[in-house]
Amino acid sequence: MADSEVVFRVSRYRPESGGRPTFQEYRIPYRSDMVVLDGLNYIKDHLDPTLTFRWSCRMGICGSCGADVNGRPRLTCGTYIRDMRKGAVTVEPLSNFPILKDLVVDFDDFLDKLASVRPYIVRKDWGDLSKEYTQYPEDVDAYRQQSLCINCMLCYAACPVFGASPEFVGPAASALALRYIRDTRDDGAAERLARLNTKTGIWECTFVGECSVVCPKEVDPAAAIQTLKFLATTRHMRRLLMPGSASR
Amino acid sequence: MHADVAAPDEVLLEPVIWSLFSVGGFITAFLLPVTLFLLFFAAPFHLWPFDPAAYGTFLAHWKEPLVRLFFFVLIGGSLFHGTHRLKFMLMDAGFKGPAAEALLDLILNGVAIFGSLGALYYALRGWLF
Ligand code: SF4
Ligand code: FES
Repeated sequence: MADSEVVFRVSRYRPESGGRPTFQEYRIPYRSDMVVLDGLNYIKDHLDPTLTFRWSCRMGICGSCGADVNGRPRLTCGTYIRDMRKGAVTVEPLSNFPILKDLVVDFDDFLDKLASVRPYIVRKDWGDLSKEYTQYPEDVDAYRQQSLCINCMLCYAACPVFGASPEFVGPAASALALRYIRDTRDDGAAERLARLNTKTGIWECTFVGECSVVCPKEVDPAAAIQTLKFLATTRHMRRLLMPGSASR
Repeated sequence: MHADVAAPDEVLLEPVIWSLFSVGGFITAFLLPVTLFLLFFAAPFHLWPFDPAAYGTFLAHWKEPLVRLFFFVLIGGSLFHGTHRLKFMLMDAGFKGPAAEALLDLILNGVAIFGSLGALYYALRGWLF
């Protein structure tokens, strides 16, 4: 049963009418077990069907419901209204991305960056495809943390380096590169490190660390980038000092 | 549809600078505070068994190549770490763009390189020349 009201200040942007995003306020019935996404869905179902936002799983799995809530990137399905400071709940589209409509932003640039680090198992030779490529628990442990990434883009919204230099490959794409580099079935480390050892690669990272603070899945992309810097440096030094050696 | 994007060119200098920065980080975080404490606080404030001939003892140790190497690495590593960190702090504060970054590289890497060369000069002086 609703025991009071809460005010939602939601950013609205209608591409067809141009101009800058504006805020619209809604009063909604409040229950202590409500998350921000519940509030947005209440608005959509009862007050304003034109409000546009993404969501799917409501359980922190699909990564589609990210927004800036009270100035900080969060999954709206995992953010309880009761944990917000008193007063209005302000919901804006994720920072650092072009806005398509209301709370929906354009991730296309990230998808290109993700493709550039080859987020899949690369093999020189697939060999006998009928045999299993065994993974022991310790093999999986090596990349489990990075494999938890749900591509929610909160880390890009929190990253001031990406905000200032949009060409930076960024936290999640780097963490996923490390996920595949650490996979015992993969042979693509050299290609990925070559991609990351570039002007737009990992060296742009100044280790602000906000990506890891906001990540809802504890992927720790900041640590992944530091590990990649170490791997890229050792590969680079090996190539400089032993030009004939393997490039990995 | 997101086809594979052609990778940009690899950089040559960044991994080298970063490795100096990284080794320097270790030195700055662990060795520099301990050295500063021992030399500038513990001895003068009698927190450490005080040796009235401390300067003479230090001078005697200074003849050892390993001691000279230690101080060269300590100073050079701290300089590379500090200037790299300062560069990124200034970039985060808005000092960005190719011209600004080139200027920062010139000044800060210059400070680190000349400072390290100075430390190298004193490490070798009286030993090799
Ligand atoms: S690293 Fe974390 S914050 Fe970034 S996209 Fe993956 S799950 Fe989201
Ligand atoms: S709705 Fe799927 S992560 Fe929030």
